[in-house]
Amino acid sequence: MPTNKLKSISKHRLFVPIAFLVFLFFVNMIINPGFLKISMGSDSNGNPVLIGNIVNILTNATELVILAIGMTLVTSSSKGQDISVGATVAIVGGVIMRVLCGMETQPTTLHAPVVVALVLGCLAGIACGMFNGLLVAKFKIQPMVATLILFTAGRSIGSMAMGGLKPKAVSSFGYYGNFIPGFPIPTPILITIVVIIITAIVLKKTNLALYTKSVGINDKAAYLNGLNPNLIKFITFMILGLCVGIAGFVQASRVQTVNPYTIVPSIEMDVILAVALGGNSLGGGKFNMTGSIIGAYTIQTLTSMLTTLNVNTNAVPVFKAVIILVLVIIQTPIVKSFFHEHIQTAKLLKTQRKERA
Amino acid sequence: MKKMISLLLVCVMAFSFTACGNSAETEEADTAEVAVTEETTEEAETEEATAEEVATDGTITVGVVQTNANESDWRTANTKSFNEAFAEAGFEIKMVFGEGDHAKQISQAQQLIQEEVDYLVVLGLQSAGWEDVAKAAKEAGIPFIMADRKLELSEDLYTAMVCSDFEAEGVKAVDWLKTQELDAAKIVVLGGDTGSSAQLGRSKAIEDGAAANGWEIVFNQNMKGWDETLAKQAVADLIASGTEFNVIYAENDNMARGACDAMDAAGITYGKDGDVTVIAFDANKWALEYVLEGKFNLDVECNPLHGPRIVELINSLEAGEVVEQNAYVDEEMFDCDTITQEIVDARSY
Repeated sequence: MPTNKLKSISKHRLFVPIAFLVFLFFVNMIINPGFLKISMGSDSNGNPVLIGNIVNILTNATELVILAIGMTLVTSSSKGQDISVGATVAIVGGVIMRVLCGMETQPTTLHAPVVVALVLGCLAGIACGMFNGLLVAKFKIQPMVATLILFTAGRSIGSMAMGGLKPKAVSSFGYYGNFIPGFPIPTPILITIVVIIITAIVLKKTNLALYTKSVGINDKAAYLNGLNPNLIKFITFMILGLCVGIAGFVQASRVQTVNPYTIVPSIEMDVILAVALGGNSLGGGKFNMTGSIIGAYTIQTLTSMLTTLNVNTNAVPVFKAVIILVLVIIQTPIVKSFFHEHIQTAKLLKTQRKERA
Repeated sequence: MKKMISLLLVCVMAFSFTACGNSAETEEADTAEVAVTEETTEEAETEEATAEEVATDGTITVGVVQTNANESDWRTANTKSFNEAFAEAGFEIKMVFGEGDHAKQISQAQQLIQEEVDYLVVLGLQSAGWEDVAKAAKEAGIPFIMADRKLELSEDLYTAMVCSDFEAEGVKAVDWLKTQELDAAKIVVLGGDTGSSAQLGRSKAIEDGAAANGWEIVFNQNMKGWDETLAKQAVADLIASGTEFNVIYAENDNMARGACDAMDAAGITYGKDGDVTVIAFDANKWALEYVLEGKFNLDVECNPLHGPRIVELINSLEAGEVVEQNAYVDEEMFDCDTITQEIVDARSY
């Protein structure tokens, strides 16, 4: 029966996140009729590029999506969030710029191959993840308190890594955050796809998801079943560190320069929000990776919408907050059960009426 | 467990010793005070003696509350200017960095007042909220000098200022834009950090200018952190949504560069012979190179070399002269039609 099908769809965990994203797209299409349009243009060097709002959203959401993937795992296993991701992106960015530019501010060549910068950046990210993981898993410090340390110090460390300079790398480093000449799809979109595919394979083929969830649900029970909860928590922080490494690399490549103090401002809040919008409990345990990824795209769509709407600059945060508030409230169990009850009583009345008739 | 505790105690002890050693070297009065309570009186006495020496030997100590150490090229030049000019004048400098935190700056300023510096120079992240600091400085008899950004203080609370007049900078750009005779100006305003006096002044100038000249502002939002990335994303979104514009009014060089990146990616021409006029502020050396290449049409200077001016100011105050309280820094602007290689080469930052 179609009504039953509809009901089962609306009960699905991903229903609200997807419905909201579709709703945002709908609103965007009304205010901006060309929202879905993707056109082929060319940049100032004559290389083909794709231009369109959707392309921009997919491109600009890259860091958010990658970080949300790592954050989902950390949230699930440690029952808390890593608030240092923005600051550690600054560290990674600092390391990458130092490797590529040395101590020059306007270098004419890359000082090292980009692969080396990527690997060292990821190692720096993983090192930060290990530091956080050690504090959380070994010393049992609450994740928010443990990551507060790098949150406070990270941007300064990033600045120190760059030797106090603010160099700009040559434009060929920009391929990874923009376009590869001759190929019209933005590179960040490709990077996101690769990361999502790898995540999907890892979650499907390994026991990572199962172990993470079981540690998050009850780490004592997990321990009694032969898992090492500390190790699992540590590993999830390391994975988030790797995500930070990749996100930092893309971010640094976008404008080929890094300002550690202003790079990805308060992205940690957006990442945590993406996880929450995806219908995940921030209290750990079960998680839904697809939800987090959709949540990340929702936030980017919202940000982009505020730009195209030209909302008064002072009202932007309020505007964003109101929309998020509505979304979060819709997802609370109280509102959900309220709607379900209403639907059920409506049905009951209907059947009663039919019976009387 | 006992071992752990004893190890920890040893660590704490070792740490306090090194802390004490450092303070002896740097002759900081505050750490010396801490040392009095923590360490043996013998050591403390020697430190107090050194602290007193500093106070009595006539060197002028200047406390500088700076914003961020590595915010931008402009800031780096600014900090360097202080260090060099003060070293040359033989002043002792105590520079602290707020690192983006307004509240931290205020507590740092209060700390400097307690350390009894002779002059207090403040470069505020935000223009509001400095009354208590200025009052405390006044009570302690420390002249309060504002630099870089003008703070919201009544005139009896500060001694002098070495500030940029941001609104005047914006007005310069507006006046220049008037001479460009564009058919219909459709302006994209990329603002800086909301609430900083640079953003407030420069935004006000263009908003007033647009209203007075019948220009249309098609976009006006502030980018967090004066950064390339956000400016680039905003302009890319505007291009994709089909918003038409022919003027970019970016409130610093970095955001102008971000906007240019976005236009490059969409094949929109800009600068000297392009469709879009680019106006930037600050005039860093690399930005002047952009002006010379014709990528930016106009760059309005915001002079960071405050050090020598403040030295001059302090010397006048020391000599008992009356200084002008509200003096703004002289600033120029650089147009892509008139700029020369010499101007770019002469730029030190």
